[in-house]
Amino acid sequence: MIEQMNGDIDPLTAWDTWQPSDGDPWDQRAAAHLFRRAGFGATQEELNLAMAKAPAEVVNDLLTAEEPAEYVQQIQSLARASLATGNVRQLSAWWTYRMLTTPAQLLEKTTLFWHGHFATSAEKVQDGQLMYDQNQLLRRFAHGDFAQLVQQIAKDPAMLIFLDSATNRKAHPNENFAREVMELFCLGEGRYSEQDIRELARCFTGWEVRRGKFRFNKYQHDNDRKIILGVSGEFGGEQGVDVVTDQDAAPEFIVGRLIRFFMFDEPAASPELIAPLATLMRSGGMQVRPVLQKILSSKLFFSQQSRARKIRSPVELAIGFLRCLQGSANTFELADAMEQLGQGLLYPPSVKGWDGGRTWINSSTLLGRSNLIRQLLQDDKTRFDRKSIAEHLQSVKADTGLKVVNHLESLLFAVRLPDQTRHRIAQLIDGPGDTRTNLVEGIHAMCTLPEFQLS
Amino acid sequence: MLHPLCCSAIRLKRVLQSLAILFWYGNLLFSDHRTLQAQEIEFPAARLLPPTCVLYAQVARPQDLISDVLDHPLRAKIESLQVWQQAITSQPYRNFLTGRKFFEVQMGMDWRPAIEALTAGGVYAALDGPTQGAVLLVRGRDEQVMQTFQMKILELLRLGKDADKATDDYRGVTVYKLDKGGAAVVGEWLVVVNKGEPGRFVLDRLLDAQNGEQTSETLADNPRLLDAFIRTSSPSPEDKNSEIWAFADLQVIREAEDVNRKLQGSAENPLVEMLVGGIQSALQKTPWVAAQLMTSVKSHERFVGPAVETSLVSGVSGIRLSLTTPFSEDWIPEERHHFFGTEPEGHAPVLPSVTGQILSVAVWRDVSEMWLRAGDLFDENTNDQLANAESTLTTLFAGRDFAEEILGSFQPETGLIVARQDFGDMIPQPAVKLPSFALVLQMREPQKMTRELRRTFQSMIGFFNVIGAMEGRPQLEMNMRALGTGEIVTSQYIPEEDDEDSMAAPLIFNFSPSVAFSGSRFVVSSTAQLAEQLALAITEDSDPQGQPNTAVRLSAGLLQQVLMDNRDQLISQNMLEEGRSREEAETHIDLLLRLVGYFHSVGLQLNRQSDQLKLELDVLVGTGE
Repeated sequence: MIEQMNGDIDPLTAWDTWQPSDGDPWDQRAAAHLFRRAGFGATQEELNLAMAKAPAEVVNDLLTAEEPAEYVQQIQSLARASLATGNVRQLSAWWTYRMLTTPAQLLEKTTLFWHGHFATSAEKVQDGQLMYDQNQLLRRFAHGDFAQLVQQIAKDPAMLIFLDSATNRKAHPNENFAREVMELFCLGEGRYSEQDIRELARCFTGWEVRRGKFRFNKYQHDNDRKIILGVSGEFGGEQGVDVVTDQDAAPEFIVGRLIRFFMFDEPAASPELIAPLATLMRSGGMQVRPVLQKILSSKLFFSQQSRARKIRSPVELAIGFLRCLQGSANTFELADAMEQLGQGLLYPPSVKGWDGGRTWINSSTLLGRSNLIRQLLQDDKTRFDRKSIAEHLQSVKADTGLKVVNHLESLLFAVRLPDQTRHRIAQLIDGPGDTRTNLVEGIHAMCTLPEFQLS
Repeated sequence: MLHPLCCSAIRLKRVLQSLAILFWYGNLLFSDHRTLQAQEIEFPAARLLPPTCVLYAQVARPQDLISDVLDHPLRAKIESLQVWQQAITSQPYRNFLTGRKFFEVQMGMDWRPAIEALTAGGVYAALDGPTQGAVLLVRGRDEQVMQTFQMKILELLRLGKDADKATDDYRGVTVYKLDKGGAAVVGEWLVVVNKGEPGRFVLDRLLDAQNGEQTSETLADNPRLLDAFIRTSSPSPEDKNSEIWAFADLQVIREAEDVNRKLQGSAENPLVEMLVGGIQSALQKTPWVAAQLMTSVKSHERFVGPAVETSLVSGVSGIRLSLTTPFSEDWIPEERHHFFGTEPEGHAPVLPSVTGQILSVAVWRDVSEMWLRAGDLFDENTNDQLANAESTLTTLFAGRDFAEEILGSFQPETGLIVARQDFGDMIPQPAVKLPSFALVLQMREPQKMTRELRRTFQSMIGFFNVIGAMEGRPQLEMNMRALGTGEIVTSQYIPEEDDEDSMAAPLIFNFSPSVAFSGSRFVVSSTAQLAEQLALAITEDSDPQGQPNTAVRLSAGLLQQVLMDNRDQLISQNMLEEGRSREEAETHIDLLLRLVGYFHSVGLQLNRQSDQLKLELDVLVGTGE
């Protein structure tokens, strides 16, 4: 069936701008799909505003959204306070808070993408400031020049410490970092040889981290000629990175990753589907923004091949649930809960980042996801537009079981629920007993449905 | 006719007889008065309660308590708070007001005089051991007011119910059924119980008394209750402050609940042993414990140290909770002699006072003895941990036995001082500004130990530097200089270039570990500033025998200043913990800071006297000015 779906995609028209029609309208469901992928989710009010505009305009708004100076100041102050405690785990809570509150949610979503791509774990780095600096770097280049981002990452102290490259002497070039640059960061498997790795590793000799800062030790750099991917020269680290990111495979690799992150987990995009976007990226000076704009405005993005074709990651599940309902929560507990489900912010499991897709779901995490929603609903610190969930739903006129189900379905679900399921949950909410308990049980029941796991 | 001398002798004899009679009557009157006070005035409720009650509490003059709370100058301040103003517009508060209005209409007077009239004779509560029945007794101003209460309030319980389901009749008294138990009014008494048996006992006593019949044994006959009351209540005018008095019959509770077994279990935590070990032993033997809550306390009157005097500030008042229990030195087993000491008993030291002092803890604890007796005090796991720690510490102290030679070289009088740090123009300044803290100890042999401790401190700083270098942390730079007749050895973190001018430097810049020596006084401090202040500070001359075993004092004003120093940090933590916006978090933290500012200080002291143990907690509040 997966192959069938891949076969249904026409690479020639897939990236054409989507034109809504009567049969395929720009409605709340389509807008909610866009916000779920280009962010974490939208409130009813945000969806109403979006529906009053054209889809391309909304995509443009999402891409160009900026955080107001006052918000930036507050969030930086919050980061400083977190760093001042010396507890790296506070930064996870800080980022969770930022994801919940940022007005530029596509920027944050793309930063999360790059965090998974250039995976670095605080578990090993053990330095909050370095992790924060890297996080800021990813955000700064999130929609910008990928080649420049790789250049910066290659000198990022947190990354070098994480990949055991804090010391790299010419007598013993560290191949670990060079391998990841080719395999995981820029080209993907099979696009390089072992000799290319050895040569690139020589370029990085003399690159060190001392007291949390990048340092070039010219005495430990191998100044001799290197041959990387067929290109030869007396390359230093920067030139070595340039050789790699100049490869045609680089934009193809990144576009493939972006399609998987923003559109569908399976199947892997075909080379034919990737090619137009890779060309766009290369011709645009390796800028990410035009590629994202193309993806999020495309026919393919709004087609059935993309809708409900991703499994929500723990971050998408938790942050999405709260953002859609104007929720706020204890971010320490939320960050911990997301880590328990396999996605600890700033704590990716390995340099490969999170596998994503079906790996998010197993018998243990399915129960954990359900418990997370219950925990959020029952925690007094969780508020929805500064109210309890019951008061919030009353304020949006969701005052019967069926209205609650309809409201939540339109905001949180990528697919329609069967009528039988809707009525069963509505009955649960309207049932005898304590109203608040029924409401919590009803919402919890909705969020344990298989449909809720789909983005 | 009698001889004049005989007449004189007879007169003298009569006078003497009269005096003797007068003395005897006086004596009788006096002793009867005490008895009457105990049995009839102070214990009107105890005479109604089953003798098996194990817990008893009384508020003899609720109107005083109400007045102390409602007429306190702070009330207006609290009511002016925005959060209060918001709270009184909430639905629950409006419901409360409706209920209060209803009560006022029914009682025919404002709620406060109504409550005062209903409770004029006191409020009493007890728990009966065998039945686990709780009893609440309220004595009104007179029968009329209680009748009004019964007819206007209790009768409402009948509404919507069958008469036989809403009430019972017991010896002619209407008992109103509650969800659990019942309520009844007899004369000027309101009786509320959750179990039938103690309820019937109380009603029987009340009805028998009305009929002039002999009553059976009651709680008032419990000799431990009488002993507790006589020993803990003073007939002085101060007694007026004793707003709440409570009693627990530990002798019975221990037998019934096997509490002793739990109290005898070995400790797992040496710190807990240091804090409460002796109290735990006393509780295994003592027959009772009495609690008093006094309001209108003006100062930490019996507090140790010079800081006491400064607490006598106009407008400051508060509450004192005292826990008293009989005590005998024989109750403390040998392995716990580290807690109170033996002959002579131990007294906490009078501590020096420094600027910005937030907290002081003065104790008498023979830590060396406790460590050496660890095998008798702690479980195996704790002993293993202590053995490991001792091994490491012995190495650090150049092979000298840590427990015996190092800890043993200090007197048991120990002090902990915590003070606000004044960073002034100092740079770098840490983002989180922690208070400094120091231990103040007395060396038994200053000549011998000064050199030893100085050398050990130098070794430790060297050790920290090696570890710090491995982890990329800034290094400590040492310094040593004379200080008065003593000396001080300081260390200071050297900032890296990036941190040199930082006003948000890492946490470590709160610390400049130092030790100071002044005569027999040894100070080990988190900062050089505090070490110097404490080494130079002069302690007041005071009778050591007058000091308690443990004394703690916390200054709320300075605590508030430390919190203010870290306001931004607190706001940020609140945003992350509560998910609040910055504006909301600011409101919340500012309210917290303001509330802390309403407090003046908190004092705690443990006094061991020859025949009793007394723990007193004072909480003083200001007027909010």
